[in-house]
Amino acid sequence: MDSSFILGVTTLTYLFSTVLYLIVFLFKSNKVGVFATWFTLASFIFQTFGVCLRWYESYKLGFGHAPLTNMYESLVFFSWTIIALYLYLEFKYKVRTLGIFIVPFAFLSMAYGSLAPEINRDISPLIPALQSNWLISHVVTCFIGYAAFALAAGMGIMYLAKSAQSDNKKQSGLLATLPELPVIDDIIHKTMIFGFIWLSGGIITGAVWANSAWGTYWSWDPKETWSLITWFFYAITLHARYTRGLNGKVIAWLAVIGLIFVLFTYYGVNFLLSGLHSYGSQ
Amino acid sequence: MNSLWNFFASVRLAIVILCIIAFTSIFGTLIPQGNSFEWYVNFFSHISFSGTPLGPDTGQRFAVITTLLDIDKMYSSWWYYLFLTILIINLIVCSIDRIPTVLKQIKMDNLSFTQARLDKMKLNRQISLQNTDTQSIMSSLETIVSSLGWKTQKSPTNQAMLFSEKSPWSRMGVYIVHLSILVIFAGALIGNLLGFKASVMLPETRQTDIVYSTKDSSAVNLGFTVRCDSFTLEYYDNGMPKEYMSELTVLENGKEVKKAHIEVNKPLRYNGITFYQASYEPYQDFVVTLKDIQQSVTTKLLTPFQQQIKWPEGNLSYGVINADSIQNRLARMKIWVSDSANPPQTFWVKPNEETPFQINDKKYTIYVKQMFATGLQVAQDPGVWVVYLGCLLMLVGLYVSFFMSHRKIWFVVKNSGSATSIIMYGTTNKNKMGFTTVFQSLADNIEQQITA
Ligand code: HEM
Repeated sequence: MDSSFILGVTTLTYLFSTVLYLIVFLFKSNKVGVFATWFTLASFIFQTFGVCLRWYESYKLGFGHAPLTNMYESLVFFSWTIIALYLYLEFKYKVRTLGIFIVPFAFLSMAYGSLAPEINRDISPLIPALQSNWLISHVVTCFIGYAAFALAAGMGIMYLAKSAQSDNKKQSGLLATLPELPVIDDIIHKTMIFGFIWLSGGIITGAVWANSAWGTYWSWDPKETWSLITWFFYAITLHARYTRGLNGKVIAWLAVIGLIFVLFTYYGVNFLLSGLHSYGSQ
Repeated sequence: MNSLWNFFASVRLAIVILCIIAFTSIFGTLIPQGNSFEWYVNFFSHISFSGTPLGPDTGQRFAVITTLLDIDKMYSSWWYYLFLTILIINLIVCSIDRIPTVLKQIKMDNLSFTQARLDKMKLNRQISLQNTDTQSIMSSLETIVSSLGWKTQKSPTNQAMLFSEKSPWSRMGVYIVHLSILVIFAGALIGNLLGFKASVMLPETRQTDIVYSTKDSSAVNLGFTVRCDSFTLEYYDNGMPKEYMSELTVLENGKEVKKAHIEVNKPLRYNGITFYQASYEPYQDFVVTLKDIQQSVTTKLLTPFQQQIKWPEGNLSYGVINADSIQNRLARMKIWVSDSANPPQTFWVKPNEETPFQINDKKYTIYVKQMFATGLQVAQDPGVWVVYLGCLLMLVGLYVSFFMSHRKIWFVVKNSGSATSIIMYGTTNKNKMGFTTVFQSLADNIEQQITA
């Protein structure tokens, strides 16, 4: 068994988790709910094992490095972080109906990483610029932030779905089992804040790294600039909450739109614009 | 004046200016920065929407607009700086406007709250008691509450009131974040005014005491000399570059004062100036090190391809007469050597390997490497530590403003005839839901202990 096999299987298990959470949502089955949680936890542990194995395999190839260095590895880590944060959220708020709005992101990330032809899944050695301890802290901080924003967006969708229904005054059916709107609003706010802190940390670690490699902590390269634009976007959202007149719906929309900025910074820039971070397009 | 102040103190302006900065920043990521006018004409001419390129006329027009509005160097354009300045004024005015109120809230005399004011608080809880002695209730309440981690304050006038609060200073968290942005800007400004960014291509065995500014290619005098002793490129087995490294020597007044090995991510610092391994340039030439073993003399000579070189101390002439490369990497070189007495020899050597050879009884070694120039990024930035301090402040401020809140709890003992009770009131400046849970479990805990 090698790591690419394990991570390939993880793609399938997260697909199955998604199906389980869909069943939980549609049929409100508590038994399936408990199973969904344990199954997802097991997949998560399996994926963790896969990541560690990939790390070990890189050492066996003679150029060991943490598996956080290219697009594929970052997609794996992205999904790993989403599941970690999701399981924490489920544990804390004791609501399994959140799952269907979040777990699919982890599946999609794995599926894209495992299947897309333009993604290189080989374990390759590090080019000189990437040989730095800042690489790990930079990638980890950024991706915890990105994962938190994915969670916020998932719950934004949930908020919008639920509030569309309560506008229609039919507070029954599927969406009635979701948490109350103010509770969802509170979770959205908290995850966005959590993401904002980590994104700030990600930008800072990136700047420190750039300074140690090139002597410039900020060079307005497209990826840097887009991470700053994304950071501004969330700063605007936090301030918008503060000024009166903005209700939960607007914040929910902003949480969803924010993820578009995140995905463009993460993915779009590598493929559409050129710059220092082009390692992702290998 | 007052309305101008209010304009700059408003959060609405903050949102607008942040939106403007975020939006305009996009342009610089779509239009490559820092190129010549001709480059932009060419760039825009070849952009195509739905198949047909814009063509040279439209390209010219776009290029004119781009350079006219400084979009080709937009992050240092006057209008971008204007937006940043408005943001800074906004931040400063907003903070000056609000901090006095915040300080008042921090230092507020909470023990003088009237019952009417407490009654307005949404979060409250009543704990009924058998005990009717206010004095003894108060003292056991005090011990319980402080044992649960809340420091208590007693009112000098009202015997039946106890107050406790947590992290009043956390209200300053947001202002620490805002201050951190100012500190980062200050650091960037210091770097811009007092520092420089430059680069230099330094061929092996050569030295320089000037480097060239990244901004305008003007010469910057280092005040000392750097020499590149060697540059080495290492590859992985699959042909990917593994490491670029240079051996540098710093000289002052012709004397060697420091030797350093630099790699990407491992720069050399000297006199506040940092040298970063940034790039390299291969040459057709070779650097050849020859050693005469008996006499133990060594030389390191720059050797152009297919050219005869004399080494008088070793009494040798030599040259690199042929070279094979595989995938752009040098694989082997053919060497020609001769001392005038014997017939010349030729043999193959591998790059970067010391190879022995012999002419009659005389033993030599030869070490041949391709010649490179090392590309150094050179920077002096006295503001970088200020920027890092700002970053640290920002993380601290974010932590404080998001994970801490100013929580207050009042305990009032009420005696109405035969029934006695403790009434708890609580407020917080944020995370009301989290505080509600804390408040209720604190109340549960107190109820259990005091009625036990
Ligand atoms: C890049 C710029 C800025 C950043 C990163 C930033 C960051 C923050 C953060 C993290 C908060 C806390 C939000 C929350 O508690 O949910 C906040 C609150 C706030 N910010 Fe900013 N801010 C920026 C610019 C500004 C500017 C220019 C103003 C000027 C009016 C401003 C005014 C405020 C106010 C009034 C609050 C609310 C304070 C309170 O809760 O009492 N911010 N800011």
